Amino acid sequence: MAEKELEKVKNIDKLKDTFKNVQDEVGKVIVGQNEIIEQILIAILCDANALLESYPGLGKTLTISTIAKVLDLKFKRIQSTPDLMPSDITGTYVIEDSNGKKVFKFQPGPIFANVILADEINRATPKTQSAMLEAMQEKQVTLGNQTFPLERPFFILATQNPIEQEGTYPLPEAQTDRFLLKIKVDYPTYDEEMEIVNRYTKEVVSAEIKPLLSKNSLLMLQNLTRQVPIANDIKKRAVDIVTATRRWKDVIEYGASPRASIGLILASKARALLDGRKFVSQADIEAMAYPVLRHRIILTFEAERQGKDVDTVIKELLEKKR
Amino acid sequence: MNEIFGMIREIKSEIFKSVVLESFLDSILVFLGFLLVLRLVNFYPLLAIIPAAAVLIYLVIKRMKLFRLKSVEDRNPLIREMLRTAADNADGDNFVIRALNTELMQKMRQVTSSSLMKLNHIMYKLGGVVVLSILIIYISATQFMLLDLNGLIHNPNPNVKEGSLSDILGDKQALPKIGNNPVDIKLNPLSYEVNIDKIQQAQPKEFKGQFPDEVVAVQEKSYEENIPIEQQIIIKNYFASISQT
Repeated sequence: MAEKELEKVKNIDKLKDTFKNVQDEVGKVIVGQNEIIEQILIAILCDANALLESYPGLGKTLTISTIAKVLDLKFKRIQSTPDLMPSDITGTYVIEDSNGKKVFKFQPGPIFANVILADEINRATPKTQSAMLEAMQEKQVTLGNQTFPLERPFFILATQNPIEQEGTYPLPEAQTDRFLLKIKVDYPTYDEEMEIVNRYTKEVVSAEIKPLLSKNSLLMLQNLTRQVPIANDIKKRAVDIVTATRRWKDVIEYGASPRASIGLILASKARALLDGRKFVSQADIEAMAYPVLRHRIILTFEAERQGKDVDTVIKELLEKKR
Repeated sequence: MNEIFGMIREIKSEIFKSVVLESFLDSILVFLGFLLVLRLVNFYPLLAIIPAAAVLIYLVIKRMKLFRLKSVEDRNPLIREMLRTAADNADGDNFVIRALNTELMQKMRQVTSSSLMKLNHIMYKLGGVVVLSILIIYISATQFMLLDLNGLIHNPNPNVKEGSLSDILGDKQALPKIGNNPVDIKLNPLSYEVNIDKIQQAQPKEFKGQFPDEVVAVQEKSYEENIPIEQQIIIKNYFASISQT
């Protein structure tokens, strides 16, 4: 079975159908949100993490937990609060009785899973945020003088509530830069909301979710993502777009770092693979520019005064660089 | 990997052929255009080869420099972005690149050489060649010309007119007069007039009259000398004395 699945994954032409099936399987629980699901899958394929900005009640937890089930991954949720301690995330040593002796035994925290939902990360203190970010970046946890590697694949989806910012500790730009994508979740359409109501106001029937991919398949797909080739002129365009954010001083006060160039190309490769293509296209770069850049650029006061938001500025930048 | 390099070489070769064909057509148009102008001014028509050759060389070099794989992709949406990705990663070797190369080789079989050429442009240029050729043939047949440069070069005095008396005889004062009347001289290149209508077969003719009974040769009187006899003797003695010495 595992071999069959690996063979299926190796056939890149069939990958589009495979990921379509993943979306359909998630769609048994989640209505709409196809773009969100796609971007989460892209972040997973890139072996990176994503920041999700959404209002309450839009099904963030349900979405990510369903994706974890379909991908056969362990899922844990961490609700951030101001009193959350780093040890509540990473784990701690507890004293245990063993053969009449007291020994310290490491009790792993919720971070020891494959998919973590760090809900409202901006509510946690900077110290707790840094513990999570270390795990995110290094894929390991250090306690005292011991280092515990995290199981692969490892993915953190951190969320931020754009309203109710009182008493929060917004992630500094240096930290948000470590997230590959910033995914914006919008309200569902009228028809989608009607479907949600129809599904979730009748008798409770939990949809049977089948796992469609395994950890090994995902690891292979992560490897394949980096192998997707890109043409030199398209690569050049991606770098041009990112460097342009540092030169457009009238509108952008702080531009994106080279990490954004890496992220943009990697995310475009993942998008190409999701589409069953063996090459990166111009459309991939343009589509991924928004989630890759929106949390890495800071607009000038003048631009904000004119009512421009980050997505509008990115759109203008793409048109300038066409 | 070698397959991709081979395929790109083949594409470049096909592009070169289409560039040469299109540039050749353009140079023919230039040649015919110059030929038309040279015919109209009656100047050396073979000079039209020079600009045509220059245009051919220039266009071939310029078009080959401007050649990009993207232009092949634009004319063949089937391989859009695939061809240049494979070309740029031809020296790479991994699973995905190999799969890309295999797919590209399959799709390239559906790409024809005609897709590399702009057929509309070629049709318009051929039409131009036909029109110019017809114009040149018509002008050559009717000997129409706007200016005679060749004539100007070989006869630089534009004031010479045919049959001008002053050119032949000089000024008016030099004209001969018989009495008070100037001699009216007409130069007729034809010293006779031949009326073709009156030309007919030679008619037999009878001799009339009789031959004289006697035919004698007589010295012509104009040959008789009127030198006195004493002077004849002096001359005779002079030549005799010369011969003796």
